[in-house]
Amino acid sequence: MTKNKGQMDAENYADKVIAEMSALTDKEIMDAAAEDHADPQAEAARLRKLLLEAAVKHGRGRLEAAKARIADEDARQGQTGAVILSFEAKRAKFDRIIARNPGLTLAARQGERMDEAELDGYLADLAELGIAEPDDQNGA
Amino acid sequence: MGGRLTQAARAVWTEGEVQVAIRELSDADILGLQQAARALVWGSRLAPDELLSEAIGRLLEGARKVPRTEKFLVVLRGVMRSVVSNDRKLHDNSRVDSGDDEKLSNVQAVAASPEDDLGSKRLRESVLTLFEGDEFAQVICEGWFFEQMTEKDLCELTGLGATELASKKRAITRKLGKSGVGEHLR
Repeated sequence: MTKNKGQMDAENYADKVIAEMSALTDKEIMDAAAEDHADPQAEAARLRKLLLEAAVKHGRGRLEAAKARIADEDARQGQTGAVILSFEAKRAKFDRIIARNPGLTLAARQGERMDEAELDGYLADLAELGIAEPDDQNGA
Repeated sequence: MGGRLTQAARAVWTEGEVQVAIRELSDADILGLQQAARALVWGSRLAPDELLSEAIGRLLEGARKVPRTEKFLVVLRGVMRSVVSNDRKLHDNSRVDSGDDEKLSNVQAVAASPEDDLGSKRLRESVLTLFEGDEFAQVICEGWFFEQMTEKDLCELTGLGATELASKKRAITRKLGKSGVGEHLR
């Protein structure tokens, strides 16, 4: 990324300030704080609370984001209405589809020898072709 | 083994670790952070307290990957620096809507906008105005911060010895970290 002179100046300023500030002794920091605050300890306590609250607030935000993500996933899963069928139920479903579609004679013959994985694949292919049980088309 | 160690060292700080680290900071550590925040926000749109809070958030987001072996104070100062730098770069959130360092470094050669120039100009002006009446300090600030002069150059320019220059720089930094000074210029 190309930086313009202004950006370089700002970054150089920040680098120099951080380096110089990091080199200050605790005494120098406390002396400067005493010039700024009537009670430096009270100010330190206020700042500590501010930092802790920032950490808690961020953690709460992260938790809420995670909850929203889970709720979103649940909602999406509910919309797909995915139902897990047993092998027997799949077999019965296949038979019903074939019975309602007499043209699928080859499928009917092959169906006798299909294992569960093949049956899954075939039902998916039929669904892709728009051949399904009336209940499936209604989203049940 | 080396890979696992690297991964662990680069892992994101957890909320619990950050809370423990904050509790372990001394008063001087915390007040030093405040002074650094005040000095860093010159010419930016952030208030010192906002910068401190934002830095904690960014650290927990893991937008900036830092080794866990590094001291929390050092890490937090680095994140504060990054937040201010991003604030100046991302004056318009529509450009890159993230404080993620990786995304920011992928912003390809964005032409300097009038607002970019305004940000750094504001920084320079506000710092120099703060030292109005102290010509020496202004010359040092100009060379040190904005002309990137070396110590040797600065000594030659000001006629100060190395020790005197270091002392003057220390005084400048302390003033930059003081509260309320030149607030109206921000």
